[in-house]
Amino acid sequence: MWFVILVLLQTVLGNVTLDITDVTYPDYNFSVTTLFSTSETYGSTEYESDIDCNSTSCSNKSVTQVSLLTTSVPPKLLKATERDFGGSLCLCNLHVNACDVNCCCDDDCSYEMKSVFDHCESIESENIDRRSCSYVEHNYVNFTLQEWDIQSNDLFCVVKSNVPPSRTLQKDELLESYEESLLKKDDRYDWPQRTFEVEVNVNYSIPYVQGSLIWIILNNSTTESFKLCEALISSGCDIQTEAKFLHDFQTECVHAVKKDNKFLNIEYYNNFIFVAKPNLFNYTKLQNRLMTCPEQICLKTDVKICSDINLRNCTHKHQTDLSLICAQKLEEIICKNVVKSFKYVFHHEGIKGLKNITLLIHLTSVTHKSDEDYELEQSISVEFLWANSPTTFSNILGGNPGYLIKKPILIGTLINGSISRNPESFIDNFMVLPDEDHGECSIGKYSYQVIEFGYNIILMCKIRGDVTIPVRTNATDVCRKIQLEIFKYWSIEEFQGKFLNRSFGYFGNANSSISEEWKEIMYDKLPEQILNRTKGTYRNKNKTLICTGLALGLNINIYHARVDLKKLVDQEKILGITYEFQVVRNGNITFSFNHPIFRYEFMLDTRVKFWDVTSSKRKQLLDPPSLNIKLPSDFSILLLK
Amino acid sequence: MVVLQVYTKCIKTKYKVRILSKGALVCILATIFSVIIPFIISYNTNGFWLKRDVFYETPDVRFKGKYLFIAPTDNTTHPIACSSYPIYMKYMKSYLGCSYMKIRETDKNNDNKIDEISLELKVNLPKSSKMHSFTLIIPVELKLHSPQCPLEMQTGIILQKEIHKKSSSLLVVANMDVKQNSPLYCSHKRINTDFNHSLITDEGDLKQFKLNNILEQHYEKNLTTTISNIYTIGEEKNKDIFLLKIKIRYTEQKFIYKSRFTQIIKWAWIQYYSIYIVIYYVTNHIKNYIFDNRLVLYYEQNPLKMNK
Repeated sequence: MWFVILVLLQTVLGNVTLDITDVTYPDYNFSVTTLFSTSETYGSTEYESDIDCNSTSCSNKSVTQVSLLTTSVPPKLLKATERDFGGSLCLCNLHVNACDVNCCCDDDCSYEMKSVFDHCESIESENIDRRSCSYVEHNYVNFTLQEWDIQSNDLFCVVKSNVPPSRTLQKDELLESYEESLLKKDDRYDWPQRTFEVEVNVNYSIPYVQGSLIWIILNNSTTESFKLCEALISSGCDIQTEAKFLHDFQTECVHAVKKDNKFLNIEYYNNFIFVAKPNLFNYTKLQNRLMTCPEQICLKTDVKICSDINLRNCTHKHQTDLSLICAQKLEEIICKNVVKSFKYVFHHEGIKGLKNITLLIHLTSVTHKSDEDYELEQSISVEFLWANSPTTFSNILGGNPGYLIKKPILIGTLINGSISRNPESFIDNFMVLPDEDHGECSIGKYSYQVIEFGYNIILMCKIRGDVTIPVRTNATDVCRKIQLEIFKYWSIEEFQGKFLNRSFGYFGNANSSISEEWKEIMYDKLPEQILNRTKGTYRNKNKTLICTGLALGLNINIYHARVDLKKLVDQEKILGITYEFQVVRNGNITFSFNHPIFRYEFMLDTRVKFWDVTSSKRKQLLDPPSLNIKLPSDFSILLLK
Repeated sequence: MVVLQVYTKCIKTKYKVRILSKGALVCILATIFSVIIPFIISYNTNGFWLKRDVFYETPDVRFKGKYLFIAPTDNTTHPIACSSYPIYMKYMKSYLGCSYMKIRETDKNNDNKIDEISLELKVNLPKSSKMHSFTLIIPVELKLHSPQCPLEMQTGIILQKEIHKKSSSLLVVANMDVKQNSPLYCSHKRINTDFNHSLITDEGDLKQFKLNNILEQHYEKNLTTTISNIYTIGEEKNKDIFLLKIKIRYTEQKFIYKSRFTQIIKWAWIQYYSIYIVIYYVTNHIKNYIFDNRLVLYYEQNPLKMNK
């Protein structure tokens, strides 16, 4: 600090010379090349001084005058001769005993050779520290190296010009041992270790808890965790992941259809023996092949073959052999009994383990050309259910108490002042829209799509059907029948000549036995009114039917708000649901048909919109505010004093 | 003899009034005016409270020795995957299709910060299947050494490209940018490690290597890195290899951070005081006018008159 102040003062007030004598170096064993500056009143010269230091100390007895004058000095040509640079100093000389093109400092290049060069490579420019105030610049003039001493001794070089002689210490020496090399790595990156071994200490006697691996027995001697195929890199079944207790699992991945692909063969899934109660399982006996696992501890799957891909209509396996068979027929390969989708349903008793396991499988047949691979997408799922409490749809909530986002909206039918819900039918318990497949609508026990709370939907799909019309049926009756068919897709149903009153639960936990927790859906026009307005006329010798007033669109508006319930805040409550029918604007819809079969096809337009009508919350005091302030009894006396 | 003015000094005249008088009211109003008005003006012209500030820094980005290359092919059951993650190398052996990966981090200006990363990856394409896109994930460690906001975070260079089926090589040059959703909470005493969690949360769980998981994890972060200014040069040859060359430059980035209390006060004070000086000057002149012209009653205590 003082040195800097001194230097600045000197810069301002004039020239001072400092004598540096006896420079002592710390204990290093090295040789140093030091540059000393001497000064005159207008400039400086430099010379090199080699100092040899021993292991303890080294000193320089020479007296040096250091200038504090800051003047710029024109560059001085040190040597203007062709310099013998030496192999190591010529950075572009990369061939021994051969002339490197454009490498002007290469000793192997004669003057004649250099005459073919178009320039000299200036590799040195990267290796010169031009930040210092004095340095040596190398230039090529006529392919001959010129060395220039640059002295930019301006104001900013005060410190540089006046600091004591310095040196650069570099202790990068050859490594002597392997351990030393490890120290040099520091915390910098390295390629990760090749081997990856996970130590798995499995205690088989621990009962299943949530997240536990499920064990299967292989060849009556070894146990292995139960694994299922999953896609990781692409949509192909790349990996096998472990199924975990009470973790439902659902995935799809692609298999190549081949007769030796075990994952497409029912036998692979059928042959698993599951450890149902691991705490009662004697692993040591099993290892020694001394034990056949008893039924209550080990379970085989109860296989059911399902006719549909969604594994709904399933029956017990009757056929004895359902294994995968592939046969070539001319240029085609036909594979039968290919496992298209399967689902393990684990019925469990909590900590007591598994009670029974059902395997639902849907098999399909595949035909493909013999010179092509066939890729089949397989649906895989695992479901855990409590063994003694069957789940019905009426037990499923949409939230507790407030509706949760993406959960279904509870629906019931109001009959004689009480709410009725069929526990076996999903569409009788929750708000649904027709299922859509390739642009076609369908509604049924298994074909629907759920209206999820918070998700707005616009659904456009075709409905098709045919009705047998008896002779002399009134055209209006036919149009009304069509309208009734349309209503079915929106779950608006007629019972004994009256439309059923559909109600929704205010909250996600609405109780069917408490009718106060339900509210009827409101209509802009009642279904009866829509039906009454529907008229029909025959034209073209009864070959054309014209219907007016048909409602082919429905807007479902769901009004909800976040309310506070006791100590819970922001619970989603449905305040109201309205159905708004969209009648065909231009009036008429024309059908042509041949008696007695009438075919119809419409585009059904259904839109669901959620309206958040939460009002701003206000805190209201229950009683008017009042202050009950009592002054001390001696207050008046204090005031008088 | 020459007389020089070497020093000046004001004589203070005191104007005294009763507490309930016009003079007192004028003075109180003038004071209130000069104190409150600067605040109202500076507040209403916006930017009074410095809620956020920015600093620029070239982040210190370091490669961690790990990478993940995933490329679907037209054969769904045979994609290509390459990685240096041990678990990946163990379980995805049949899909590993890269013979080498060359990487170099360059510090061009010797400031101990990496300025550019160059990467070369050779993919051996399986017979009779073509690659049509790829995703390359290079987890990196990003550090800020700024004294006002030291930060350490894990992020990644994520490059997703669709390529021609016949592509045999692709050169990609790009910049790595930092994307920020909200200001950083900075403290010069503590290194911010809020985002110091890896893209792959559990490197021992193969499921964590799912692209969905990695990309969602990356997307969820407040502070992430993206690749911008991308230029590509492709080569199409009938070869059963694909050579991917990438050059990513790390440039100076802008970071937004929440201002500290002292910084907010300092900035507010400067604005307030600069307006206050003007208002004070005006009110002072008004007061001088009122008292000089005796528009209100007062008792004057002038030191010159008192001496007389």
